[in-house]
Amino acid sequence: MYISDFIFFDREALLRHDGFLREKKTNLFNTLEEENGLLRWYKMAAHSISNLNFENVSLVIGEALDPSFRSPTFSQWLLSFLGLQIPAFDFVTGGTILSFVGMYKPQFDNFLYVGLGVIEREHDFESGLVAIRFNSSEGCVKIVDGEILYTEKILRFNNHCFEDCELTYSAPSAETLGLLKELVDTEHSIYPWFIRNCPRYKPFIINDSAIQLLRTAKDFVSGTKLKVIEVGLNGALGVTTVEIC
Amino acid sequence: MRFAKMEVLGIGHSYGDIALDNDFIESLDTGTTKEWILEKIGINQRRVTLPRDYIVTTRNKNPSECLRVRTKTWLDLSLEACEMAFSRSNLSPADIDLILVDCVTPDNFFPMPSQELKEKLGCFNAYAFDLVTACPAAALHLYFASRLQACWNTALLVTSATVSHAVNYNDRTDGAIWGDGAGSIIVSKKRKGKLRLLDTTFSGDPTRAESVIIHRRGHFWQDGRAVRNFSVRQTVRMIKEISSKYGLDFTKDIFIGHQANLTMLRQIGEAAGVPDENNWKNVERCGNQAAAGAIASLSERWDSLPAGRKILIAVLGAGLTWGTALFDVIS
Repeated sequence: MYISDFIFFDREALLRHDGFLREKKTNLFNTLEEENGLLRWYKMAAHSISNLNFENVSLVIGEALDPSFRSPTFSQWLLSFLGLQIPAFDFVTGGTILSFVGMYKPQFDNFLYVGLGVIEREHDFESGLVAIRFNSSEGCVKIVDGEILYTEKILRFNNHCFEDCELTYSAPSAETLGLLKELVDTEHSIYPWFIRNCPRYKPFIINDSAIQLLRTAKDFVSGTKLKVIEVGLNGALGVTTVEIC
Repeated sequence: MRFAKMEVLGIGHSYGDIALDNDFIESLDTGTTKEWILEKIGINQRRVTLPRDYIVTTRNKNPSECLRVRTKTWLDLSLEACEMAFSRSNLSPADIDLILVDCVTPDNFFPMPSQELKEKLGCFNAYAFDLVTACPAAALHLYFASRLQACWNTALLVTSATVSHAVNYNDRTDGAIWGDGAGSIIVSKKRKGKLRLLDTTFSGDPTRAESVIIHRRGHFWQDGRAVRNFSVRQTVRMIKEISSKYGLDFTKDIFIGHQANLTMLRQIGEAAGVPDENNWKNVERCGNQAAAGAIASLSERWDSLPAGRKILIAVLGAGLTWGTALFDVIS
């Protein structure tokens, strides 16, 4: 499987789409009077991916952190907003989509993954969006293999209401930390910013490693193999081997 | 695209523990009568997890309140359905290496419902993911699993919903429709089972996505007329397409549709040439259990499945999405 197209936005980049959208009402707004909360971010997400090439996309898989509504799913709502008749459903990996694709080798050709993580009042993490188009025949990054090594619960959202939600993190277990240390010590590895303790960037709340890979892929020469280490909100620790094409 | 051959080893279901009959719904004095319910929806009873006195006194005006009084959660129902599936398949939780869960009424988004279920069941060899599309989720789970090429052999597919927790019981229709339930299927690429998956499809039209809304802290809402008319047309279309491809004969083969509404299921049966006895359903006794309904209808008959026949599940719902799963009964 290859990554044939991608786009990512941090919080500031997403917010630039806000002004275009203030006047656009949807049935959900009218019915549920939800002017605040995540739906605003959903609209920005939809607008931000509207310039992607959807030609031949056969399936859209969505993932959103604590969605505003349970039905329609995030992905279905995005396509509804964009007026696109492409089958869609949500698949929640906790932000380890590359490991999932590398491990299970899903037989869906030309599918688009859209992951949105929004944290309104969290200072340690970055809100953001990533859209990755996967293709079975060609692309700029080849997903060679993948494995999810371990899962444990790390993040807990303990309230139904976004405005009052509380996030609690449990520390990764000694087993996870041990595996992580082993993995990040290998050459050519890309891993979450929080492990690097890098003051320049805040880690994206979901898909941080995928975003780093996409951000830096052009800096590597063709044929370079990288290990991408993902730590999901579900505690999943995944490692994916990719090759720059 | 390659499609993995799978067999169903076990299946289970669970319903809400409180029965609401049509007398009760009429007594809520919302303008709904027993006659209207039977004519328009065809439901005699729905199985929910909300106490009757709570419904009478509050009408579930604030859905957050029902979390304090509910008799069971989506997780309780799922565990019961999974226990039945394990018992029927003679497998233990350690045999499972993949879990997919659809739940549109979870308590938390993280930990994911699939992880909560994995931990409660003790499926410690499994990786668990949420795979969500509401009512057609059973078809989606089979479609999705069959297209994962590597790294799994035996999967637990769970659909669970307590939509009564999001029902406004002042609404004359919604209170009459919804029940709560869970369905569970254990499928394997290696082991032999009772049903063989012959084909599975999934599709959708998200431009109609806002026809059915389950808000995270609000009430369920749907454009009932539009969804019903589309459901009948599209389900008939799916039945005819699969029938034509596989030569189904509904004088002996079985159809199981989305258990939304008995009147609708009968219309579908008439239009697609499925006699009532081969149109399996539970909606008249249990209400609409969202994604769990079709699997529960199959699970109810697990011990007497007719060998040599084919069973077509064709389901449609929120999204709007739809899908099919065609099985051969092999023993």
